[in-house]
Amino acid sequence: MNSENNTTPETHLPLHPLEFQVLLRLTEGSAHAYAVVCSIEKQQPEGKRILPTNMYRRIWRLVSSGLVEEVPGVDGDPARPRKHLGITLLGRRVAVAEATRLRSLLLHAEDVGVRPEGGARR
Amino acid sequence: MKDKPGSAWEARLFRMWLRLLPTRFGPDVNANIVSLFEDRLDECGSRTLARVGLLVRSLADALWHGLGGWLDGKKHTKTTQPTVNTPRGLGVESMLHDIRFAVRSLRKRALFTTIAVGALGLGIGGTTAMFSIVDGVLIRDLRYRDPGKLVNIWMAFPSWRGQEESLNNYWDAIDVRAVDYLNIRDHASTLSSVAAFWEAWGEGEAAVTGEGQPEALSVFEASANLFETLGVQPVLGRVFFPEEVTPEGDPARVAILSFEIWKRRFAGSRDVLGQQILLNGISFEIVGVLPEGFRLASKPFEKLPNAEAVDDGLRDIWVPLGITGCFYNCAHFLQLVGRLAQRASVDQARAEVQTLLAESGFEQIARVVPTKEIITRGFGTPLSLLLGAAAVLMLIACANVTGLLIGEAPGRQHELTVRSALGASRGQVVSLLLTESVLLSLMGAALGVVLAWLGTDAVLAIAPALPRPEEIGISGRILLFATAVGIGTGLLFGVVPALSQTKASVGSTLRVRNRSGSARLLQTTVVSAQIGLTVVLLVAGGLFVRSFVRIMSVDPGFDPDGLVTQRVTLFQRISRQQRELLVGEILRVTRDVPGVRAVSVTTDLPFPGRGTNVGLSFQRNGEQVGTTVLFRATDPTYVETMGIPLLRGRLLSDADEGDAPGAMLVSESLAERNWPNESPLGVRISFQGLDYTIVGVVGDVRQEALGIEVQPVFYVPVAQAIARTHDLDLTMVVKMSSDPVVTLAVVRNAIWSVNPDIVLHEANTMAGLVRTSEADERFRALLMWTFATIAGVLAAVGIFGMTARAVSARAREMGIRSALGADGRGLIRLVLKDGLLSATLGLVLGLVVASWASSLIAHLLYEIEARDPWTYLGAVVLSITTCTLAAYLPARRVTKIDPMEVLAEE
Repeated sequence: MNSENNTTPETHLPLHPLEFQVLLRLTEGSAHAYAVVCSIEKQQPEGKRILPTNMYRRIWRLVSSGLVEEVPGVDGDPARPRKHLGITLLGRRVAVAEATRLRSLLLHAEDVGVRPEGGARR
Repeated sequence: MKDKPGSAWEARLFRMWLRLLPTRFGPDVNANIVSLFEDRLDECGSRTLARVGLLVRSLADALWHGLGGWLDGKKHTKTTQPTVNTPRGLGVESMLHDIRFAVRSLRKRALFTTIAVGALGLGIGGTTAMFSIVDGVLIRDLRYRDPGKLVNIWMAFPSWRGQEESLNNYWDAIDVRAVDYLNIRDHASTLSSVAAFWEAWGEGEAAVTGEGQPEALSVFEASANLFETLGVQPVLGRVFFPEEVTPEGDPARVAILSFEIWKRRFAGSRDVLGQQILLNGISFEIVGVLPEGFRLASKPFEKLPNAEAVDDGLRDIWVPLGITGCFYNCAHFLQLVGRLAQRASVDQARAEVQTLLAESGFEQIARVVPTKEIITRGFGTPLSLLLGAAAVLMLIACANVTGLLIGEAPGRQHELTVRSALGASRGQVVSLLLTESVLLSLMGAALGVVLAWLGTDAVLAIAPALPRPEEIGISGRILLFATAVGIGTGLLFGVVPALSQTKASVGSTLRVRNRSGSARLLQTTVVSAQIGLTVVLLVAGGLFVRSFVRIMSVDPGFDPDGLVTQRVTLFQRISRQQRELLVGEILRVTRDVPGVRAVSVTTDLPFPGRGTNVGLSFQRNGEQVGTTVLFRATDPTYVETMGIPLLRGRLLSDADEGDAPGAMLVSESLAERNWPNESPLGVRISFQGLDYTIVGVVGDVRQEALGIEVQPVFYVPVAQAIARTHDLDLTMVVKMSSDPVVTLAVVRNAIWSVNPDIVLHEANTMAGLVRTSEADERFRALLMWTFATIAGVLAAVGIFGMTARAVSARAREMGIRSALGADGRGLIRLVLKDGLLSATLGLVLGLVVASWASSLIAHLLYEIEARDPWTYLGAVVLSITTCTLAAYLPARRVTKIDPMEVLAEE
């Protein structure tokens, strides 16, 4: 994607939580959308499901922003097309930038006395 | 993205949904979305609930994210800029932006907005007003428990008319005898319960005395199970106990009040229970109060025009039914209401009641008709028809606004082109234009609701006595209806101009010219459609008006001019001699009032055609023959006072009164039916155990309404008839030569000078009664003609606008033509051509549709063919004149175009 060369990671921040989660999952390796969904849902509270159009709206934006790209993948069922997705270099940088942003936000929260329940103290 | 044969239905539906939505994603991504949906569906396995839940949520998700994405604008899909960081990132925001813009744009174009909102307001207002009436009268459930199971039961004699005909007419429906009621109640398995009631005590009038002013009330006798059958609980006290209602013998002296009487006479006091109420001098203990608005569905002929249906329930008192003596198996007096048993149909109940009636030996037809059908009987078709006409008016309003929007297109071209140039996608521009039109129509809907609110009352004022008037009004349902209609019409009239304008916005000069041609075609089509629909309304309105005029020219059979009617009732037990003296005295004092030319009394009057159908028997060719005829007991001068012509024999005279040998007049139709080609004079007839001789034949009189065929009737001297009653209940007919209001006041005082306890009620002019009987026809004609007129005005505005725009658009061409020597007339003809082409197209289309539509209303017309050539011709002439005038006025402006000015502008 050309856009990788033209933008800095910071221009993409803040990320939508779902988009950040997709990037995090893809950092572990390429996967098709359903695998990404299953993996994200495992980390979420029970019953909160990600619905197809919402998922693809996020993927579509990540792809069009050059953070995620289509990669060749093997799929068992030819009748059910599954796009395999992989994270781009820009995507990794954006994920890092978002993580940094969130971390500094968390630190700021702790500084003002807002701490996550059961979280570690500095 | 084709459906795969193996796909689950949920997946197919979801795929179709995505295809319908204008999402930002292409087919490729959509296929992936569906694939993900199928994966999720597999997780649900065969759990239907889970699968459907997923489907519903996914459909909503697609609508929110897919459509939201589309409204965000396609340009974001091509840029690297993340949508979340753009000011118009969210669909809702985008929509709010569009709304703000649309408001500004509409405010700038105040004239356009006013005309469009006015047209839409008229269309939506008319439809909403009609819908509120249709909803109240036809759609809402009756206020009984499980009202769909309730049926009314009555009977008819097949010998009177054809079976099918009887169903559609009032007068041959007859009440049920007590013996038949008990038989049906005890043996019908298709009816879980059957209750009986009747309007007791001399035509349903009883005086309530005691505390407060004496007043006339309706007293109904009811079986113990009536309220249980209807599923009505009293708001206070109880209903009747079974032992209080006796099939034979005197019932208990207990009474249940209507809510309205309780509020009015007893100020809604809870202490009313146990109090006594005096009805015709007999004391009843009050045991219960019925819920507010309780009305009882009577058999159809109780719902005649003028039958004071509006007062039903407001004056009702219920007492237990007592069936005694001859009433048990002679009199047809009970009205039955039944509740269908589980799984029993109306047809099954009818068949069973038919069998049970046959057991009684009479050749009777059973009528078992759903209660709601009876209440709304005769109103379904006319009201639906008027609702349809209102909907056509709304379509015309839509077409009108579409025409206006198309006409606006050239003026807005520049603005739209700039928007596109600044990067607005077509979707965004279409969305903007659609927001504008929906906003416009919602404003129209708001105006429409106000007009409907005012209009419903106006419509009800000219409407005949509609059933369930208390249900009619602007409610939440109606507002929802108006809003839905508003949004629907906004999309309907907005989508075509929006698509056509955005196409043109990116065009080159050449393409714009081509598009202006297609816009003109579109405009021609829209104006033609308006004219076509207007012609349909004009034809329908014309037919109804002609039918109404025809019906009003029917001779009622008497002369209503100067006739005033006045019901005279005395709720006292008086002797026969006293009664005769009283009637004589009332007639004498009335006759002496200046301005009174003649006065008579009768038991019942035509219009509303109340009266009793009674059995007569006589000898014909050595055989005893029976027939059923409408009966009137009158004083000797009645026929003369009414202006009914004497055809043969003589009138009744004073000599026929009292104990004289019975004399009788028969109407022409009765004579023709029973004694064709021979004179009925001198024939001896047996009626209620007395012998009468026919002494004269008089003209037929329309009884119920001008449009309803004459009924056979006979007249006997009133003195002989009232000799059998205990009280006095007659109607006076006074022929006046002066102002009826003043004279009637003097007449009333004169009567009270004879006896101050006489109740004088139901004063009417006969002409007014005749007019009211045609309220249905008047209502249809007036409303349809109003719709047609509004439609005509809207269509004229449409043509006017189209021609005016054509003149402006072709000013340059006209200037040059004028400079080259073309004369004014030629130029006008040139400009008129478009308008008149639309008119002609619309006219032809309208006539074709009207000829089909008029066959639908043929049964509502009186002696007018559905394809009445004069009506069609009238509609054509009116349309052509209006269209020509509407096009000619703006077309004249071409002659005022100054060629020098136009060329100088170039």
